[in-house]
Amino acid sequence: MGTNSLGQDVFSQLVYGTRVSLLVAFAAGILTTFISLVVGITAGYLRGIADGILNWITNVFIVLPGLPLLIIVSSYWNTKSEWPIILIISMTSWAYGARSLRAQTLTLRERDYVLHARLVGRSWWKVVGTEILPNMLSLVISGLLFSMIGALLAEAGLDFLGLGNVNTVSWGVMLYWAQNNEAMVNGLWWWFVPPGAAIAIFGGALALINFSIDEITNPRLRRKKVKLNG
Amino acid sequence: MYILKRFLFYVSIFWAAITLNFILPRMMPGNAASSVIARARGQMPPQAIKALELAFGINNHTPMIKQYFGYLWNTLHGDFGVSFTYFPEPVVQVIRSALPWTLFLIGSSTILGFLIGTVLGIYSGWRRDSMLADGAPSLLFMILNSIPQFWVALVFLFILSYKLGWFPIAHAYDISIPVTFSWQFVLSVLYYATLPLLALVITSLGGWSIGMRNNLVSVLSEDYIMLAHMKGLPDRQIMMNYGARNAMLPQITGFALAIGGIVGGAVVVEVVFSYPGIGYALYQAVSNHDYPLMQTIFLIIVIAVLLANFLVDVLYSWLDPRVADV
Amino acid sequence: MKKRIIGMSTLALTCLIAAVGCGQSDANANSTSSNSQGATSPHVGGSISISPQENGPWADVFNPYSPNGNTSDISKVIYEPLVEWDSNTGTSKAWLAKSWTWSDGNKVLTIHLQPGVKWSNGKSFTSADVVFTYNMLKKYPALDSNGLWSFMKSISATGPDTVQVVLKQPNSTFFYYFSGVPIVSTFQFQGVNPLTFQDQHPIGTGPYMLQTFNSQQITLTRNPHYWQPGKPYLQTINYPAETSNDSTILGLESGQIQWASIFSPSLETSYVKKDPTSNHFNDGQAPAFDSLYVNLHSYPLNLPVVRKAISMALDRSKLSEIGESGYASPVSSLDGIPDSLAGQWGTPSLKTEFPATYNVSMAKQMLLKAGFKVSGSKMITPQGKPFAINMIVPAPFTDYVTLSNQIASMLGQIGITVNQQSVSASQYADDMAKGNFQMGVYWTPSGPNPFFILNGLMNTQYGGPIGSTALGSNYGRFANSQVQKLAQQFEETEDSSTQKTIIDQLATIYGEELPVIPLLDSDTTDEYSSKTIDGWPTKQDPYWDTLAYGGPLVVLTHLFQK
Repeated sequence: MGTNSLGQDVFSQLVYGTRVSLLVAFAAGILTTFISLVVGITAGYLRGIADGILNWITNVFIVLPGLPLLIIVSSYWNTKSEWPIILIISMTSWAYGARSLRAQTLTLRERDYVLHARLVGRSWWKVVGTEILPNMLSLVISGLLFSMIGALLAEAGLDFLGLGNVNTVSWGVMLYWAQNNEAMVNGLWWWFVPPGAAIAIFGGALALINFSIDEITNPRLRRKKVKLNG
Repeated sequence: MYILKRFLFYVSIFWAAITLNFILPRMMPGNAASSVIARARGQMPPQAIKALELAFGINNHTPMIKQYFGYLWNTLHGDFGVSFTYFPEPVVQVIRSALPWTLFLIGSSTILGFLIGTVLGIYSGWRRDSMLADGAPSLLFMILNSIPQFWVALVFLFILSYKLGWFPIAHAYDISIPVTFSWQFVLSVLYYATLPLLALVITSLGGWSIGMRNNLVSVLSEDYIMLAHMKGLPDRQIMMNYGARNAMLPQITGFALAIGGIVGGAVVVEVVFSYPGIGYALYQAVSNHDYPLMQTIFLIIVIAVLLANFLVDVLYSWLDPRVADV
Repeated sequence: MKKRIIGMSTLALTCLIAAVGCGQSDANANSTSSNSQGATSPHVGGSISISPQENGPWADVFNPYSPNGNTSDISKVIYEPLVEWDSNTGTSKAWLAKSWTWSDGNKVLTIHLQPGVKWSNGKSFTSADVVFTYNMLKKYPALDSNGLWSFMKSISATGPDTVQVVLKQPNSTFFYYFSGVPIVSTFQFQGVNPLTFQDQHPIGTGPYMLQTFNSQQITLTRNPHYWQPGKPYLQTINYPAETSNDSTILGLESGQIQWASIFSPSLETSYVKKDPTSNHFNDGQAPAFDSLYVNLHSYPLNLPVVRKAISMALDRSKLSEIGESGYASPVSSLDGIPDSLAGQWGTPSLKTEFPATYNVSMAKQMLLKAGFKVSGSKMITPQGKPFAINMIVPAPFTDYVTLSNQIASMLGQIGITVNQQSVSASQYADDMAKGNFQMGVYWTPSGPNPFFILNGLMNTQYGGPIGSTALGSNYGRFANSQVQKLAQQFEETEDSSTQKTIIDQLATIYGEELPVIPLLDSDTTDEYSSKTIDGWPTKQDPYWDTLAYGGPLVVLTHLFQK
C-alpha cells in the first residue's frame, strides 16, 4: 500500500491499528451493554422509586445529544491510552439499550413463569439470572453489536478531530494524520482510503451478524424461502 | 394531564442538561487565554497571557455557586455573553451566522435521506423474496450504515473535487458573489452544498430504508393484511394503504427525532467541508476553550432535541390515546 | 493544525542601538523593489487575495486589541504602529514615527511623528492620538499584552508631531515592545470600552480600509487619504476565510490566492513547479528555536550533565527531516543564538565550544560517568530508580507530535523511558506556563537580538514558583544569580558592543547549563505569486520578510498590479 509522507508503512499501520480500533469497539460495546443491562433490568424489575430515578437518568442520557457531548468531554480528558475514549463512549451511549431492556423486563416480569419463580421465593437476582435474562438474550446481543458499531464510528470521528490519543495508531488516528498532512492534495489516497474501508468492512460485518440474529429470533423478518426450508 | 407530566419531565431534563453544561467546561484543564497563546505558536509574547486572562475574565475568584446562579439567570434571560474565539463578538451573533447553514445542509439531507430511504424500504419490504430488490440493497445499506460519514465525505472530496475538479472543496458559496437573494447566489449555495449533501444522504439512507423494510415486513404478516389478500384487493393497494401506511408511524417518530438532532447533526462532516455551520463552530469552540460559545451551542442542541421529543409525545398521545394511560 | 512559526510580532531593537539612524530608510525602498523585474511601473488598480493562515469564519471585529484571527492578520493593515519590524532579520523601519531620540540617561524617549498623516475619514492624525492610545493601555491592563506600563512612567504630547515618553528606569528592550502597538484614534475609541468594542467600522491610518465584511470573506479597499504619496497601489485586498490548509493550497495552485503563509511540505515542489517564474516559496529563518524544555525541579533532569546527554542523544537532522519536512534546520550549536542572528551577534568560539553533537554512545558514557547504571536496556538513576520521563505532547500540533515521538524513541536508545501524554493545545500551554510538566517540545521567545531569547529562557522574572503562571518562557524554572546581574546590565546600556559582551556571557552560561535544549531553528514558510502582482521582495532586493500574517504593511505598500 505504500508509505505515507512521514515514511511510515500504511499497511503495517493498518494492521497494527486494527488492534486499537477493535479494542475500543469491543470494550466500549461490552461496557455499554453492561451498563444498559444493569440499569434497564434493575429499573424494570424493581419498579417503584428506583425505577423512577433510573428511568429519569436514562431519559436524560437519551435526550442529551451524544456526539457533541462526546466531543466536549473527550476534549478535556488526558489521553494516554484508549480507556478514556472507551469510557466516554460507553457513558454517552448506554441509554437507548437501557430503555428497551427496561421495557422488556417490565413485560417479562409479569409472565406466568416469572411470577411463579418469584412466588416460590427465589431471590431477585436468581429470577433475573435464570428467568429474565435468558429470555432477552437476542435483544442484548443485538444491542451489543449495535453499540460496537457505534463505538467504532464514534472513535473514528473523535480521533479524526484529534480528540483521541494521537500517539497511538488506530484507524481513526491514521485518518487524522492523513488529513493533517494534506494527504488529499498530495494525492496520497492510499493513506486515507484503507483505514476508512477497514472501518466500513468491520462495521458492515457486525451489522450482518446482527441482521442474521434478527432473522433467527424474529421469524416475521425471515424471508419466505427461509421459512419454507426450515 | 399526560402532556403536562411530560412537559414537567422535559423541564427537569433541561435543568439537568444546563447544569451539566455548566460543570463540564469548568472541568477542562487549560483555559481560553492559554489557548490563544498556544494558537499563536510564538507570534504572541508569553507575557501576554496575563492581559488575556484579564480580558476574558479568567481567574476571577467568584464562588462556584454564585457563578452557577449567575449562569442560570443569564441563560434564562438569553444573555449568552461574548465568544472567546471571536472576541469580543457576542455569542448570539456567531450563532446567528452559523445556524442557517446547518439548518439548510443537515435539514435538507435529513429530509432527502428520509424520503429516499423510506421509499426504498417500502420497495424492498414488499419484494422481499427478490435478491435484487431486497437482499442486495439490504446488504449494501448495512455496510453504508457502518461507514464513517466523514470518510465518505473525504473520498468524495478526493475523487469529485481534487481529481475531477467538479465540486469546490470548501466554503458554503462562491465568495466572489455578493450575499444577496439573487439566483446566482442561491445556485452557488446549492452547488457548494452538493457534495456534503451527497455524503450525508448516502450514509443516512440505509437506516431509514432498513427501518422501513422491517416495519413493513412486520405489518405485512398481520392478520388484516391476510384478510385484505383474501378479499382479493390489488397488491399495490394493499401495500400502500394497509402496509406502508401502518409501517410509517415509527418512521415518522424517527423523523421527528432526527429533525431535533439536526442542529448537532454532523460536526465532523462540517469540519471536513469547512462548512460554516454550528458543528464547525462547536469544534472551534472546543479547540479554543470558548465556554460561552460551547455552552450556547450545546444549549441550542438540547432545546431542539427536547422540543422534538415533546412533539413526538404530543403526536403519540393524539394518535394512540393508550400511551396517555401508562 | 499545521505549523506556524515564530515571528517577531511586536518588536525590535536593532534600531535602538543606532538610535536615530534608521528613521529615514523609507524613501529608497520603493524605488528599488520593482525595478528588478522591469515589467510595469507601479500604478493604482488591481487586487490581491491573501490567506494569511488557517482561520475559521471571520469575526466581525476590527478592534486591533482583540485576541482573534482578524486582529492579527487584518486589523493591522488598517491600524498602523509607530515602527515596523522585519520578522526574519529583526531590522526596523520607521512608520508612523519618523524618528526618535533617547535622552536623560536613556530614560526619556522623544518621538517625531510623520507629518501630514490622516485617518481614513480625512481627519488629521496627531500626537494626541498616540498619547491617547498608550494611556488607554494604562487604563485597561487587559490590552497591554506586553506590560508596557511596567516600564513607563508617563507619556505626553510635546507638540502636534512630537511625543515624549518617560521611563521608570532605562530599559533597552522596551522600545521593541512599545513601538509595535497599533495606534487608534481618539475620536473613535474615546468613550467606548476598548475591551468589548467590536469596531465594525474601523478608521485607521493604514493603507487600506474596510470595504465589505462577511464571515466568509473580508474585502479591504485603498485608503485615499494614505500618508505615503501615491500608495498603496493595489485597489482591493480580499481575505477569504480559508479554514483548512487544503483549501489554501488548492487556492494557491489555482491562482485564486496569491499570498499565504502556511506550512505545507508539498508546496515547495507542487506549487513552484506549476509556474516556476511566478510561483514563489520562501523558507525563511526566524530568530527563535523549537526546543525541548525540561523541568529543572525534577530529578534527574535538574543535573546539567543529564540535559547534555539528552541533547547528545538527539539526531537533530532526523528531527528536522521527519518533523518539519526539512524546513526548520537543525541547530549547529548549543549557545542559544539562532543562525539568523548569528551574523551580527554570534561568536565563533562559542559555537565551537558548545557544538550540537549527535553521539549516542558518548551520551550513554556521560550518564554512566555521572553515576547512572545500565540494567538490561534500561538506564537506572544514581538513586536506583529506572530513568523515566513523562513528556507532554500537544495533540493539535502534528509537527510537535512527530518531534516528540522521534525524541522518545531516540532517548529510548540510551535507556531512558519516555511516556508521552497527548493533551489539548490549551492545556499544553497551561502546563508549560505553570511548570506542570517534565518534558515537552515548545517554542522559545524571539526578538531582534539573542538577549530576548537567552534572557527569556533564563531570567527568574520569567519563571516564578512552580504552579503559578510564568509571565515569560522560563518554564523549566532556571535560576542563576549571574543571569539576573547580566540582564540588568544589558537593560541599562544602549551600547551595542557592551550588549554583545553581555550576550556572550549569557550564551556561555546557557551552553554550560543547557536549561532548555534547542532542537531546530524556527522557520517561516511563505507562498506568493508574481503572475499578476509585482513588487515582491526578491533575492536581489530582499527588502522585507514575506509573511502574509501580522499586517504586512511594508510589502503591501510595495505591491502593484502588473
